[in-house]
Amino acid sequence: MKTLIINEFRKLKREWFLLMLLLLTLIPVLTGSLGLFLNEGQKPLGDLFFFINNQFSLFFPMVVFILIGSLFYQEYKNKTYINWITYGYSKTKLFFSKTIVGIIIAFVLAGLMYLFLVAFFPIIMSMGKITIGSTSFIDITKGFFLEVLLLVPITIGAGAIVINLSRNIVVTSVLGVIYGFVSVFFIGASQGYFIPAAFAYRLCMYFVDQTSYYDNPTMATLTGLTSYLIIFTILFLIGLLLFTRKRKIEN
Amino acid sequence: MLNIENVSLTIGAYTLLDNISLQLNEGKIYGLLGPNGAGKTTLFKSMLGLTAYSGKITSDNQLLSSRDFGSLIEYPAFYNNLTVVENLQLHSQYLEIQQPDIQSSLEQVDLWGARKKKFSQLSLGMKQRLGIARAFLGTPKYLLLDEPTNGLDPMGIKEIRILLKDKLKSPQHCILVSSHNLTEIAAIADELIFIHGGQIIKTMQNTFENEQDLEKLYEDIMISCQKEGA
Repeated sequence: MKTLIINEFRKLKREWFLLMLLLLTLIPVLTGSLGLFLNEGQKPLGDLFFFINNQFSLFFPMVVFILIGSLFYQEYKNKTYINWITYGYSKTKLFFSKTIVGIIIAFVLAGLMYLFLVAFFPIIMSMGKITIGSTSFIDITKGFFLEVLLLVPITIGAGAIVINLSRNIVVTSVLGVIYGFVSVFFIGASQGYFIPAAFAYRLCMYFVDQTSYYDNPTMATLTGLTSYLIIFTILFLIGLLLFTRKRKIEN
Repeated sequence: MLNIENVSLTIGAYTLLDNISLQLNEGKIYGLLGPNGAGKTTLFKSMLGLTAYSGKITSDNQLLSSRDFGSLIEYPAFYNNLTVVENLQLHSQYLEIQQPDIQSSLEQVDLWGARKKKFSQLSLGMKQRLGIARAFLGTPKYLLLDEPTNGLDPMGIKEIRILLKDKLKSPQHCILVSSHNLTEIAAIADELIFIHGGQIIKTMQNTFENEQDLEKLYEDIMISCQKEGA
C-alpha cells in the first residue's frame, strides 16, 4: 500500500491542476482579507471568519470533488489504466491508494488556507482592522478543522463515483461545481443536519457563535453524525464496488 | 511454456474468443495475424487477466501472474508530464524491481539520449520504442506486443524489427507480436498464428522467403474463413 501511495504522489509531478485547486481554496481568505483592507472601520474576528467560512463551504467541496476526479482521471486521460491494473495489485488497493492520496492533499490544501489566515491575522490586527470579541482564534481553529474533517471524506466518496462512472473530467468538474452549490443550499435549513456538508458548516460555526447552531443541539448533532456516517458508508461502498467490479473486458 | 487451453469469451451475442488452444515456447517470436476484430487484442488482454474468459491459461503448469508478462497493448500509454526515465522508474516501483537497469533498457531502444524529455515531447516512433523498453524491463517471461509498428513510418518499422529480432530475442523470452502488416511479421516471426472471428485458424512455421507468398496464404485463409462464415 505504501508503494501505491508513494507512486500516486510521483505521478503528480508537474501537474498544474494542483496549483489551480490551491488558488481556488485560497479565494475565501484572499477575498475576506482584501475586503477588510479596502473597507473602513473594524470588524469582529467572528464576522470575518463567518464571511470566509461561507465562501469556503461553497468552494472547498468543489475543490475536493475536482481533486479526486483529477486523480482518477490521470489513468483514463493517459490511457495508462490497463497498465495500472495489470501490475498485480488488487483493485481495492488501487482505489484506496487514490482516495487516501486525495484525502491527504485535501487536508494539505485546507491546512494551507488556514496558514494563510494565520499569516494575515497579525497584519490585520496590527492595522486595527479587527477586534477580538467572544470568538478566539482557537475556537475558529477547532471549528474549521472539524468542518474539514467531515467535508473531505464524504466529498472524496462522491467524486470517486462520478469520475469512475463518467471517466470524464469535464462532467466531473461540472458536477463538482453543482455539488458545491447544493452543499451550501441547505446550510440555513432548520433540518439541514441530514445533509453532511450543511451539518459540517453549522458544526463549525457552533464554535464561533453558539446561537447559530440548530435549535435542538443534542438531537441535531446525533442525527447529523448518524446521517453523515450512513451517507459516507453508502457513497464509499458504491465507489469501491463501481471501481472493483469485474468487467467482461477491461478497457 | 505458456499454455492456453480452450479459452473462450462471449459478451452478449458476440463470441470474441472461441475455444482457443495454443502452446507458446520461450526463445521464439510468434506472429499473430488476423484482420481487425479478429480477437488479437482480446487474446492478449485475456493472457493479462483483463477479461472474464473461460478456459485455462498457465505458465509452466503454474497459475499465471500478470507480472509474468511485459506488454504493449493498443498504444504506448505513459504519464505525459513525467520524463522518459521517471516513467520507467514508476513502472519499476510498481513491479518492485530491485535496482532496475533503466539505462541499458533505454540504450537498447536508442532512447538514452531522450531520457530527460517528457513523454508528451516524444515522437510516435520514440513512444513505441519506449513502450517496448518498458515491456522488457524486469525481464518478464512473456512479451506481448500488440501492433507495435502502428502509425510508424518505414524507418520506424525497420527499427522495431531490428530491435525485436537482433536485440530482444533470447532463449529466456517468448515474444508474441500481433499485426496486420505481413511484411513485418514475415521478417521477424519464427511461428505464425492465424486468427479469425475469435478462432485460431492455422499455426505454422514461418518458412516464407518473401512477403508475397505469405500474402497469398493469408488471403486464401481469410477468404475461406469468410466463405465458411457466409
